[in-house]
Amino acid sequence: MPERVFNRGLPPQRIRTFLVLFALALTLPLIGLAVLAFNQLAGLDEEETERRVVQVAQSLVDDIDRELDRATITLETLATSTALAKDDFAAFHEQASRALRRDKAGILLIDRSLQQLLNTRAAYGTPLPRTVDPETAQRVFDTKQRHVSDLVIGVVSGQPLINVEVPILVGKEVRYVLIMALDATRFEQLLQSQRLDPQWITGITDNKGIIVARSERHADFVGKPLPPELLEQSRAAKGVFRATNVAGQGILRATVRSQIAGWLVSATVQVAHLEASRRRGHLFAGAMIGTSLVLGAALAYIFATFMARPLERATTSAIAIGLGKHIEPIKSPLAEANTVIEALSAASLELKRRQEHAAFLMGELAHRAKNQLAVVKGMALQTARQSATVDELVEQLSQRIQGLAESQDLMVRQNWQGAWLSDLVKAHLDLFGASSRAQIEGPPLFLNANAVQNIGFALHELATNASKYGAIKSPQGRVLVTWRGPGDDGRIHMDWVERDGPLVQTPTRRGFGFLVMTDLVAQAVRGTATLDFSPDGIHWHLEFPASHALVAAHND
Amino acid sequence: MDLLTAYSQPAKLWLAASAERDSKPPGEQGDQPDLEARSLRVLIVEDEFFISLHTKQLLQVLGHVVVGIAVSADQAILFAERERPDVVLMDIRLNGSRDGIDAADEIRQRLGIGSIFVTANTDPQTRQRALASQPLGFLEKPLTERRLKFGLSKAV
Repeated sequence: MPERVFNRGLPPQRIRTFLVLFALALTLPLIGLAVLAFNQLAGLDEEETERRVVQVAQSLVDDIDRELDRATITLETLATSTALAKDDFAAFHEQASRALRRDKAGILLIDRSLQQLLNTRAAYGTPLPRTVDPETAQRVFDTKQRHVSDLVIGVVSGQPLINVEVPILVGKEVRYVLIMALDATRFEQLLQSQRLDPQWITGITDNKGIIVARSERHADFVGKPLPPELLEQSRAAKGVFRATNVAGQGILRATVRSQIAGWLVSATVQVAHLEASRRRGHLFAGAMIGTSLVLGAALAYIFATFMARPLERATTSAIAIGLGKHIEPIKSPLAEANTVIEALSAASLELKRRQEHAAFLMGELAHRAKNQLAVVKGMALQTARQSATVDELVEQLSQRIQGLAESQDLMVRQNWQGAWLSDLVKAHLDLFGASSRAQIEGPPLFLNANAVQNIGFALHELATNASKYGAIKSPQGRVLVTWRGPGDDGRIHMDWVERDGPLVQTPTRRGFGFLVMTDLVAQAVRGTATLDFSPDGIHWHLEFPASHALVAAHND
Repeated sequence: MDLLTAYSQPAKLWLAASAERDSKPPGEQGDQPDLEARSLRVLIVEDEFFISLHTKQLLQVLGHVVVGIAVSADQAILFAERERPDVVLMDIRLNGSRDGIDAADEIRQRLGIGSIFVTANTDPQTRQRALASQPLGFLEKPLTERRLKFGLSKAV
């Protein structure tokens, strides 16, 4: 599969490239997973924040409603006052003032004409105005129910405040409305008491959309209307929503409506803060990933170097081998590269050895070829001297060359070392088709090149003679070629005996062939030879030193 | 000794082989010294008899006397000692443990007789070794009359 891809035009790459790709293949999915996990965590974090915003808003509403209930209980307790029942307002003023103690509040009593009858913020008897919030008071008269007002500015105190108003029933008629005027700052304190982080802002907005209290910069915002858009969102929203607050900041906001007052109680956290926190998270995660990438890359580089360097050495070695250089084996950190380089080193040695051997063989061949040409030249000249006709010359010379070729063939097969004597005898008899009629006997004897060539000459002349005048000429003729030795004399004895051939007559003239068989070959192998012409068949005997035999079987 | 005397009279054998052609064998001229050079007594060291016979005939044509043909280094030293030739024509590659350079070295040192190496292509190392034995010259195989004459002229 990789071969197929890289055969289709993609150029081969270095190992460093693949190591980089390998490292990326390992790290990229991990980095992807890490980013995914981090985002998941950030999401969970955001959900947690949203839940918290809702919790804070809900908890505030509970506190506010409890505060309003507390005010209601105080008012309802005062409503049972006997002083009030007797319209003894001075005593009731005294009683109400005591009930308030240190609260930032005032208690008012108004009649059906909405005229203040008493106000604990003013000394009893001081002339008092009509109530500033006739609407709520009128509603209490009408419904005979408790009501909580929106934000109003107190006529007497001049402060922003809200009124909790309860009816004072005489029979089935509401005769008075008893009011507790709570300073808006009381609600601010309530908001503050939550002890939230500074980036949290809580606030209370009344039914008209006017800010009653705010946890931050209360004084700046109290009495101001909530931006219409935000008011709309707050009224419509359930749960958490994103918005822009009155200070123009992006916020995450949850609004819960007070059951008693119908106010909107909001908890908000600045988006900028959330994002800063998320950015910090991102930064941290990025730093973590970056650090591990740098660390991992450094380690990967070191290990890759352990691999790439030795492989590059191996590559260089392979190129060097191509240039015929010798390669030293090295110890690198990579076992496979060591194996390759060792193999290359061995190959370079072997290559050098073979080159030297080839050069040696070439020299040897050139020498032998030229030497053999000198032999053939001598052979041609000698043959020419003893030939009566050109035909005779051609026939004898070609046969002698053929004989030389036979001997040489045997030696070439043995890498020019020499040849087995039995093979030599067989080859020269084969040239005359006579090996089947020959009896060849002797211990295995491997002769050196000099002996092979010279004894080959003698055998050739013997076979030539036998085919012309002797045993090979007649169909029933036999040739016995035997040898023995080396014996105690350190000599090898070889015999060529012909039988059942034509009657032998001692020749009157002794030609060059005779000289070869007797003297020349014998002298060349530092031996002696005899040739007897007995009537039964000729007998040739040669003895020569055993040093001509490279391998000889032991002969006991 | 038998062999040596046999080779000193090769003409008889050739006569026996083919009488007409051998009416004027080159060997017979060996007794008459060449006008240009004096007759030398030469020892041939060569283990191929076809080559040594040819060399011998060339020498005889040139009017020199072949005192023997040796086929090994040891034989060459033996013959040189006995025959005291004027010059040795030495083949470098010889059968046996010692080669022609060894033989030439010993003959020069012991007998003061110089050698001319007669060899086929020789590799540089062998040639270097051969030069170190202070030969009278080098001759390329196969020998020709001209080459041989030129080579021997230095030995005169």
